[in-house]
Amino acid sequence: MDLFLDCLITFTACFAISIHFNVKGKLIFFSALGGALSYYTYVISSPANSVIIQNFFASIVASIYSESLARMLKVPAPTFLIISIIPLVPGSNLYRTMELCISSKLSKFASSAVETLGIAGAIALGILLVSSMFRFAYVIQKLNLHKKTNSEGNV
Amino acid sequence: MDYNALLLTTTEIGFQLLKNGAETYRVEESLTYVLKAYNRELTDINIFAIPSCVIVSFTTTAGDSYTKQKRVLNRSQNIDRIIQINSLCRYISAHHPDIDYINQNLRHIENSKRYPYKMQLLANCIVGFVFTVFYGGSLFDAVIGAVIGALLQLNSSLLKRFRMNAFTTTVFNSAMIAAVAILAHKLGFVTRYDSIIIACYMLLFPGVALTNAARDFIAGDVLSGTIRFVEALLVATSIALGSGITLKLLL
Repeated sequence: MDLFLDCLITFTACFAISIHFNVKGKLIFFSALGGALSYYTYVISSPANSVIIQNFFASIVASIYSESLARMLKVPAPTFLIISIIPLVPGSNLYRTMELCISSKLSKFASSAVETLGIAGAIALGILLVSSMFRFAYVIQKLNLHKKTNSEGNV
Repeated sequence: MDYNALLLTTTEIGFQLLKNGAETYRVEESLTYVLKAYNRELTDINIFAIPSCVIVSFTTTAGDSYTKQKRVLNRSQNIDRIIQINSLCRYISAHHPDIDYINQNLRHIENSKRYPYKMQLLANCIVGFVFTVFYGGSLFDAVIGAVIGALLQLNSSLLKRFRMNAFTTTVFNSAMIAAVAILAHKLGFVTRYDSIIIACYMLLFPGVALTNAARDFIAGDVLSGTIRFVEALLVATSIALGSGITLKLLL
């Protein structure tokens, strides 16, 4: 129940952020749904017991969602991707890092900074992995199409 | 065939895409498609784009060579326009319309309105409110979060007039967030100022730069990817810097 409420909260927040980025029409709903989905994945992958791995999984799910929806609706994938990763961005980690820095607890600051960077890297890596798969599929599809038109003789 | 008009229009399409925050590989691919769809006699089509500049160049069958470059100085994220220009490019490569028709459409897209200002304010309020609750603030804290969300929008449009770069703007915005949150805490309105600050960070976070960096890296555009990644790092640092200084001074 708590998880459901949290997902609802992220959905609302992503809905509002979509307006901030000027997304229009039914796309707002889809991108906000992506936000809720990525947060849900983040929570249910908690057995992995590492914030970085959790973010990685959530980012993978968000990317798969965005890329497939982008192909279905024929709009650029970042429309959904940008909004979907909003619940994952390490805002609280950045805050803790900054707090540790100004209270000059340097060794804790260093480990916190590395964790924040790690999370950002995990999100980027998730996007990289999925998008390159989709790009690969796209190139193969295009090559096949090319072969077909060439064999039929009309270029 | 008026090559000059073609050159001007293609560059304008690329410029508009970059200005509204599209990835650079999308700009390069779309423009190549447009030029190829338009005239099969063009050879040596070269498009080069980085987040702050686009260069279009091609050679005609007569051997004349055309090049134009356009700098992109102010960028802001406007997803709706990217979608519209993207579908315009699809239409061009399928139907080869007149250049006049393309220009007309481009102008139409350029003049398309964002959401009304009040609605953007409301959206920012909702983000501030909802994320404060999400990060463990009470409902009363969330009201202050909503107020800061609205202030952020006002502050950004104020700072836009001074034409500061993204980093200075972010430092000021983030300092403003921390200052208001701590002030409210000192006056006794707020129990958890940290959740308010974290919630309002969400409106400043360089998620777009990070996403686009990753996508540019995939497309093999290491230069643009690096530019965006460094941008994301710098913006994140300026967020921490602005609120850090304020926290140190006021607490």
